[in-house]
Amino acid sequence: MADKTLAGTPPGSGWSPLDLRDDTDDLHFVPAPCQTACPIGTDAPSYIGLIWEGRQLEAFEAITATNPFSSVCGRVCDAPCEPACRRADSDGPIAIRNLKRYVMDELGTSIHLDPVQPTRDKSVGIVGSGPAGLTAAQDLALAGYKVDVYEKFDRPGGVMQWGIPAFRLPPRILDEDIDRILKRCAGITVHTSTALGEQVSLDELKARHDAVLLAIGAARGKPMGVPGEDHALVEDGVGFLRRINAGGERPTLPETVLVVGGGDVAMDACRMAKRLPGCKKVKVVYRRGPGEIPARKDELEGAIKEDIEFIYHAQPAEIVEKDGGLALRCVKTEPGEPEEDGRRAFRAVTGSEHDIDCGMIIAAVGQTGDCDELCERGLINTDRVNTDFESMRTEDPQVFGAGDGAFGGSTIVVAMHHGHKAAYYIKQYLEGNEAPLPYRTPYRTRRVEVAQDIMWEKYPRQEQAFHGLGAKPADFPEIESKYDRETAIAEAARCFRCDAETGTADYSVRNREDIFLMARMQPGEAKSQAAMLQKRLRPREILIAPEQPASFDDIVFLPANLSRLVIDPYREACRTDTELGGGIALQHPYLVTGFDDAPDEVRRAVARAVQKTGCGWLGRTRPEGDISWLHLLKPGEAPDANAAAAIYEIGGSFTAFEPERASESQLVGLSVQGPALATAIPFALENRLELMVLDGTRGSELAGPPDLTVLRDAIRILRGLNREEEIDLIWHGGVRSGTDVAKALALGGMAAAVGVSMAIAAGGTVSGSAIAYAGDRTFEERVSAAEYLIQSMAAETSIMARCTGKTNIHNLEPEDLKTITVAASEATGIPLAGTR
Amino acid sequence: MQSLGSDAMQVEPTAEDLTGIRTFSKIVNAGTKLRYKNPEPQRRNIPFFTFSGTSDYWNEKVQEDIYIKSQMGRYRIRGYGAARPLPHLTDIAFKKDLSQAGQDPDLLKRVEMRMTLGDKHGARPLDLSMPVMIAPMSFGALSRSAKLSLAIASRLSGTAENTGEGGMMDRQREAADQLIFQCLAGRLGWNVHDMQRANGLEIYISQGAKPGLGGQLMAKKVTRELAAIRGIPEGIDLRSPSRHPDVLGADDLVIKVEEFREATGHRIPVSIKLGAGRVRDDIKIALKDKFDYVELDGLQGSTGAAGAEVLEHVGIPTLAAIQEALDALAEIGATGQLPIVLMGGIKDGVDAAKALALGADAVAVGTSAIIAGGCIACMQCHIGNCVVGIATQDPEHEKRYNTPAEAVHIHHFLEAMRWQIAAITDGLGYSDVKQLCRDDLVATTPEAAKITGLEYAPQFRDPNLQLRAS
Repeated sequence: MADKTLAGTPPGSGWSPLDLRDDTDDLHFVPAPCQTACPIGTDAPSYIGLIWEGRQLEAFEAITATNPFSSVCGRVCDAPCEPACRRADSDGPIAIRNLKRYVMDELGTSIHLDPVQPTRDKSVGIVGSGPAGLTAAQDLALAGYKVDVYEKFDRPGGVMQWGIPAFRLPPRILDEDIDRILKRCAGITVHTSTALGEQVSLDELKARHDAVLLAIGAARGKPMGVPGEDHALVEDGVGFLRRINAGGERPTLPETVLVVGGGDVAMDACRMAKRLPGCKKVKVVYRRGPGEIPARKDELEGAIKEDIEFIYHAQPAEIVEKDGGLALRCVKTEPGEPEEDGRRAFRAVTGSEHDIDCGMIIAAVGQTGDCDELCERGLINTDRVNTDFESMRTEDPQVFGAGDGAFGGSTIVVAMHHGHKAAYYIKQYLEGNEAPLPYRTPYRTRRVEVAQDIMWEKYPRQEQAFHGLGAKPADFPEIESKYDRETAIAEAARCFRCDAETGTADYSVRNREDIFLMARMQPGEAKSQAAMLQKRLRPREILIAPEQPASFDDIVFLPANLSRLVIDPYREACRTDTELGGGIALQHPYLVTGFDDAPDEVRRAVARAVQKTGCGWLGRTRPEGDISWLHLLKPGEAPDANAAAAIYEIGGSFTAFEPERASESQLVGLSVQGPALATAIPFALENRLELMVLDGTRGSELAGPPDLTVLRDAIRILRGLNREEEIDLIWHGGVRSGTDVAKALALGGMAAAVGVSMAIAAGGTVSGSAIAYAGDRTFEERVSAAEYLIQSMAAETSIMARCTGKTNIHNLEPEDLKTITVAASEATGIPLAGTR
Repeated sequence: MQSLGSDAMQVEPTAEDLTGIRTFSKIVNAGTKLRYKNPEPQRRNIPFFTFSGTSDYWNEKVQEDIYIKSQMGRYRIRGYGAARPLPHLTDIAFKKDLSQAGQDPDLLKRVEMRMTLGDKHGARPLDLSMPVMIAPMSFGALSRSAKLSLAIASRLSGTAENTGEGGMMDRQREAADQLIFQCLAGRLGWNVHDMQRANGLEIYISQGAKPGLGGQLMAKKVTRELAAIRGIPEGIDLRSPSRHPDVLGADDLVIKVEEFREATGHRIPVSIKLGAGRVRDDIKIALKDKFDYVELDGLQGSTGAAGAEVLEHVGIPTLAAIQEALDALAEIGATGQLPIVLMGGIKDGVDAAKALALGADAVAVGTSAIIAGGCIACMQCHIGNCVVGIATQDPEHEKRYNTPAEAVHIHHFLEAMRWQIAAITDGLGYSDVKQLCRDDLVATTPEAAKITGLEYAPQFRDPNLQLRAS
């Protein structure tokens, strides 16, 4: 794949990883539990949503934004996000790590951001090129500092390099990540085979650099503390991993190998041993029970699938020689009473000594930091560099600490978090800021839309194909393959999108999240309950903007209940037949309009639907078919004899004219905007015109919400003249549904014009102030869509009427309505709900 | 034949009679109207802020609605309730500075919250440990497991659960200490035996989400078991009738209420469930019809399935509903004579306290309770594939729902509400929730001010004001 440069910057251009800004103030975003469980705040919901949409490049950006070791993590991250996933309680967590791998496998080698050169004078020395060290190096280099990384071994990567077997993490994957970091950060120089205390001293580093970060990791195995453990056939687990992994050795092992311990090193060691020539049986000996073993679930399951035996409740007491091999003398253990923290102490069962025979023993009971110089300088406390977790500082003001070496054996992602945090405090220190704001993990979102997958509720968790030992185990072939495209999409579709705004204002994502939290708070625990109370007391943001113009949405219907007889819904029918002006009979009170300039095929299709459904047509040119046509024309033009009515377009200013009719039976009306009502209405009444189109569009339906005051004013004027029943009003403007028509009817109209809505149904797309049609529909499809829209609208108008207790839509009246905003109550003259 | 009727006798048919009988014809229900023809494309809903407030008139949601209707030929159906922003309890605020409220671990001992409900006409009232109940939700819309967890939670929190439409389940009756039995127009699952073992009887007239319309349950959720309990055919798109067959008005209703009382020996409170519409008139009728209390459900109330247009456009908001109800009682000099339980978008103890301060006697929570129980508000309840196992009858999905764990969650949510109501009551200087009153409140939007008649005080939108004022 050709080198690609990633277009687009992370959200909020100019944000650096170190300036702590994030999106937690966005009212329509809540950091999902997977994101908050991730020590580096990975925006998992966004990248999952982007994978579903096939936007791999953007998914890559979201994945790598805070994670310089994304390719590595896609295979071996501890994934604390997955137990936190809310779907875990349902039918299994989203496979967030596998999805990361899916993207990184595709793009991991090909995306490189533009190199960043150092711009500042000061420099930082970092001891250790593991996840903590290199993450801090990247952050500082991107901030413009020059960074020198000193690595004891001959290759960078730390525990990722020597500690993880190739069947879980092929070496080229780590190379991919390191390559990407170094290509981007021109200011980082890595010095391999340079150990602190040997090739370079701490004083030298302090002289060379303005700040020093100790990220030495935990590369020394702890002793088991039992007699006989210094036997030649007993090996330290960390050393074992290193010589096989980093050293590339493939020794022949005895038939039976024991691994003592239950953590990550033990799991890697046991599976590695199983693959080496000569080894037939591997047993893992753990002093506590299956409920307590710290091994990661998927590693444990993998080991079991590979036929590794687990011996629980066995505490090593002694190692003795036996039959040319060894015997691990153990005692059984049993759980005691739970202690204060809930954990149970395990005690040995007297008289339960037993031997487990084997050819070699691998000890994997814990790791410690390893550096004699630091011990001499007093910076190491038992097995770690003495570092304050709040500030990442050691006793030496110029020296900082991070990672396993400072805080004990943990995971890659936790080490990266330390790296980010240390880099932040180092930067503050270098800038002379003595009292920096406390570091917190930023939570960002890319605001990706929720996936529209019809199977999202049903898909079970998709697992990667598992290969176990493979055909040639000693070659350490990869144990799992990545997803193919269908599987990745299916897995991505499952995501609940706990971060995303929902469809309802009351149960918005923030409110929903608070309810969820309240459901998990301890009753009566005053501190947390009081904090939640304060959160809930905060006023909500203004959702109904005061300057928002009145619209149909601000009107509600009053249902029949106790005070009106309720209509039964079994028979959904309701009378919709409409007689306009005493001369035009329609099946539904809808006049399709706005198709004079539409493409021929569209116009004909819509006209066909109008004919089939018995609606009317309002337009300048005659529609095809036997349709009641209201001919729209200007004063002075001659009305078409084929038209059922002539509607003279007056617009906003009225001058008297002679309204002609083509025949006795033809009806006549005006189309009027607000300002002209006062003069146009008396004129219409005087000339015995039958119809009036109230034009509430502001020039065009697409210009914005309709002006409902036109309807209010027309009714007021007619009422003032006491001649309300003498002219039929047709509403034109912003009708989006049968409900809008029902409201227009209730407010006093007899029919409504349907313009943009019908255009959308017939295949039009709204672009700015125009409708555009593509050739993507057949004639029949357009007819059917138009017909279906009318049917739906008729059902909606009917339902509104039936809810209010009417069986004829023309019985809807203003008394059936209330408004929900002050603006709407003024614009329509309908009182606010809850008031008279 | 066992009986011939009043004035009839049996005779042999004559030859002439028999010649007229040639063929038999059987007429049955064709079933074409029992199911919706076109399924709706399943889509996750567009977030509300993109189609409300200052968004474009012809926004994405409007276009999607039109498009889908043009493909289906009918109105859209979904779960939940009104999605757009409406005036609500969140638009009123407490005047006093409550920034220090709720920190005392002994808070609950200091505030009296217990209440009885339903003894107006001599029945044995509900005994609630706080003025919060579970709102009626049906077994059908919800799975059996979800209903069960609500029943358990109601017992753990010392309050009452409600069967909703569709009958009483034995396990639900066992699990809940206090169970209100709801009678709907279709009388699905209604019978006198379950009436006898209920703690409350409720006549459902309508609900906030779809007043004027009956219940709706899509075919996928009408399973054999459910159909058996309700007494209907399996697999139809059920439309419950919206009107009781024997109640056509206020005068019929007063007789119905009497019947219920007689059938249960006057032991059990009889309430009415009303969706908010012409609340002023409806409340006066409810008082006249001698109900023990009213459950009043505003436009923000949810449902498992209803036409989207009905959800959004029929009914009045919860805030308007309670105010209208109280105004109605005041108008006829009956303030305090008809307890009102308010529901429809009550999300926490703060909403509850505001409702109580306005004058409601209690509140009920429906949607909030199921969100506490794991609902993720995807609003696809009507489809029946609820991913967490709440709004589904599919056993594969239902088994994802961990009933005991979610019962505890719902219980904890109720307890958080209890804490919040107590903290606010205490913070305002009272020792009993009944002391909460309108004087404690201001309105922060013009709409809320007009609806409630409270002082319009927009400065209370500033969260720091209360701190500065103290």
